[in-house]
Amino acid sequence: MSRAKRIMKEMQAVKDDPAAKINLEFVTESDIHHLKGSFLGPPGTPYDGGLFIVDIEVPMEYPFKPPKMKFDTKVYHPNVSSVTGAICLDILKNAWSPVITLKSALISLQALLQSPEPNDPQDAEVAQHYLRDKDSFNKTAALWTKLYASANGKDSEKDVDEAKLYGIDPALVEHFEALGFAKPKIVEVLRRLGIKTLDSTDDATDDKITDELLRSS
Amino acid sequence: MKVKLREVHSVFAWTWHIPKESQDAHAETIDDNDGDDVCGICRASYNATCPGCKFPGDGCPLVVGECNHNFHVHCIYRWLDTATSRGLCPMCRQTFQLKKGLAINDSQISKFQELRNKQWQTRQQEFGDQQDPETNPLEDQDDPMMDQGLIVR
Repeated sequence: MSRAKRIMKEMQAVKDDPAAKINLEFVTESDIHHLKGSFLGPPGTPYDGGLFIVDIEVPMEYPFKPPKMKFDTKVYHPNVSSVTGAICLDILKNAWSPVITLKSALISLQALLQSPEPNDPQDAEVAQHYLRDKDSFNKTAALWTKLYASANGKDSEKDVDEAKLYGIDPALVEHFEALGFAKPKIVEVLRRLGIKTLDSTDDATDDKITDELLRSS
Repeated sequence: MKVKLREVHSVFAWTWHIPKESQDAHAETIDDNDGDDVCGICRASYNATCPGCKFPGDGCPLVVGECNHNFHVHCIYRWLDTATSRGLCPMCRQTFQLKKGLAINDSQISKFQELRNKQWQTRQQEFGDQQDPETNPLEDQDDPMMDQGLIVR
């Protein structure tokens, strides 16, 4: 009862503020507790130019309990799972307050894209990438934005270089391909080991990767 | 000329009187679409009811917090009764307490006192504290646990 009324009011508030460039809609007309929200990637970040869609489930106890939010759009960000889109943000968990609205929560997600918290990660692999090599991380995040979050990006999804997708140096993949390993396997192992580039003199790591490749093939 | 009044229809309007300084503090934090302040929890006007009530007025009053944030009494009570609230004001995250010396709050004091006592007991059980249960729960206002700001993670 209180939930339905408030959701309708929140819908209206989003419509009344087109300047925020935030969108909120029901997934189906029959269920007002399942919504999709979207917002634009913050300018000056690798997410600039992207449109990010968020799946929103409003629990029975709303607004006394937080809405469940996860990204539908794939996002390369330390606090967002690159696989499931799960989000690590305190206000959606224990720091929830009933005065937070769906709109303000979406704005908080936008702010999260602007300022990642790699020390409290949702996706450890991405967070490590961010901490180790920010430039490379930014390139990968921008590539994901272009591939998955741009309005017309849907059709380009197929022909993606797997190595590039995870910010791995293509030369490194080629090096192991020359040894006869399959590319998907190489990418998988390099991701697992968290290695993006390799100094050609670093034989120890080279051996470690080869061992890992042999073990998993 | 003589005028004879046969019938008189009186129309009255009422609004809650919200103390001035508390209204000011409030105006900054809430979207105010139609010049009518709304309860931050249910987003319905103060002069209307919370979602659970049918008749506005004394049956569904407001309370004013020590921090000058106002809510329908039913809304804030329901929030404070959840574990996630940790007894904090939803607006400013200070411990929510009724402002003293306001007629509007007076009838609610005992209800909120009961709630605080209940939470105090739950907290003690949770932390398995050895503290003397006779200590006055109202002195527990500066608990550092209660003092977390709105941090984006």
